Amino acid sequence: MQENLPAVGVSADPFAVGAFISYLVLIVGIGVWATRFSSAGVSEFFVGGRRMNRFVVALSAVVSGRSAWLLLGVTGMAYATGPSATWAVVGYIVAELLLFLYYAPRLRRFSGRYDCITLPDFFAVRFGDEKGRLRALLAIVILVFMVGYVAGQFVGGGKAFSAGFGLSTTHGVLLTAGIVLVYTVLGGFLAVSVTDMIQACFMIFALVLLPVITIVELGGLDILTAQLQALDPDLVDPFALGVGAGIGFLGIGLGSPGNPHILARYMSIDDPEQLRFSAVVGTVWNVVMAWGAVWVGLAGRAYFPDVAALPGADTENLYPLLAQQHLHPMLFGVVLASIFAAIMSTADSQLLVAASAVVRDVYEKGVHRGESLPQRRLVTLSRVVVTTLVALAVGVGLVADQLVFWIVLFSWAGLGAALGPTSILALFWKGTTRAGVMAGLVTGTAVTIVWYFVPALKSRMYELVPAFLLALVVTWLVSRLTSPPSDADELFDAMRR
Amino acid sequence: MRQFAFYSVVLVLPLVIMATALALATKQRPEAGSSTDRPAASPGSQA
Repeated sequence: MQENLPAVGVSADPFAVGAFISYLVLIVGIGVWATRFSSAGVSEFFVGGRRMNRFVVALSAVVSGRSAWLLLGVTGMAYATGPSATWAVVGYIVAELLLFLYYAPRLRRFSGRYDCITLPDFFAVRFGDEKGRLRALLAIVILVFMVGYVAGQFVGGGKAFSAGFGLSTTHGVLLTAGIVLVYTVLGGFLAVSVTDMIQACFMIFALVLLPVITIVELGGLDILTAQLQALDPDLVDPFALGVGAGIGFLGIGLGSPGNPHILARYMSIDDPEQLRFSAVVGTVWNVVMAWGAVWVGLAGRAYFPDVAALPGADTENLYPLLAQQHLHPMLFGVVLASIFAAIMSTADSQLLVAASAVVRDVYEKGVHRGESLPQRRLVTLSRVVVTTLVALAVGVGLVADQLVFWIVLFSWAGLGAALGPTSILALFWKGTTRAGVMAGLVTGTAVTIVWYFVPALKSRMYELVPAFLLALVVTWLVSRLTSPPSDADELFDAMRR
Repeated sequence: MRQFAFYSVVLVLPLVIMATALALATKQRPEAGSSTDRPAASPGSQA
């Protein structure tokens, strides 16, 4: 899901540069504004004190899950394959609608009742993890995946800076990391959520504007479809893909319930009943952005029938190229900002989740279990950890930028397969046990790895689908063979009210 | 037929998903009671 970013330069255009710099100043300013609130304690720093507004939660949850893959990957996919690319977005949109409506309220109510700040907090309370083994396993899994994931975002940002402004990739990585670091370390969850909301607006604006303008300039929908049909009939056939590919596309949505940077958004809302409103807003945003990306790809194919016309013959360069050719330079600056918005809105959320695994799950609830630590100290430590993780992610990104692309794909699948089925069963089935969850975590991770590395399997289907299903079965099976917590009824009560 | 499928997926399907979201959200009722830890102020609501 990573990208070779645009070989389209804007450094000479003051309008585009001005629009882009204004965007960066706004993002950093929000970080400074949120500093005081986020310094109050770890709950404020990592989940905004569970006081986030329903609109902020809706947009933050949606864009945290959408990296530049949507803007560059899906547009490129629609360019290459036509409307069948739509199935790559349907799965996660439907999955996230269901999460907002049924999963998130239970998680949020439980978190509020038992003061859970992180996903491992939830599992530890739900399964009476007194020795902290389950929490430790979860913290390790989250930390390992997330550092690689953040590194992938930084490398994406570095390439975008490189292509858009003529900087070296290394300088671009450092600049992306520096910007994310400033507003995340200062403003914590509040800054991350509010900037996510702004970034969601940039993304939707660009993804609506570009297809509308290009299709109107082309002469309308009928001309577009006629041109696509003349090029290749498959370009107007939404079912021109194999069964395995179709299942794999839809299966992308299975990653959403297991990615803790999305789940943390649900835990942060002030009133769990408002998640119904967030579900509608989040779904509308998801749908408009996703279909906008598909339309960009379709329109782009009409303008550039031959992939050789794209910089580097790379379909992922379509989005910025189309924008550069059809929009005013200032609006092109907004389009470039939307690419960074997608990258940064994902990286910042992942960074906070990784830091919370260290500070909350390892340090506060592990090393100092049972002690009462000063909140100020924990917040200071959190800021140090965020800084350290940024440095680590930059190091990983610069040293192994090719490996990072694999880690990004693997992280979405691995987290989805490990944490998705286990958290769903923990929330909806009283019979789930600690042993079942641990078995499910190991199964989800292991199957993801094995499936990925066996070409015969990998070519059939995206590894997330079989890994998720097997982890679900194993969690259920092991839970059936072991005893659930004796207070399961009481714990389930906390999810209902 | 192919054109019908094209328009169904790229124009109608998004509307169906959004309408479904609205219908489900409107239909869904709280399971019981209300939140027990709702704070008075909401800094996120400033946005």
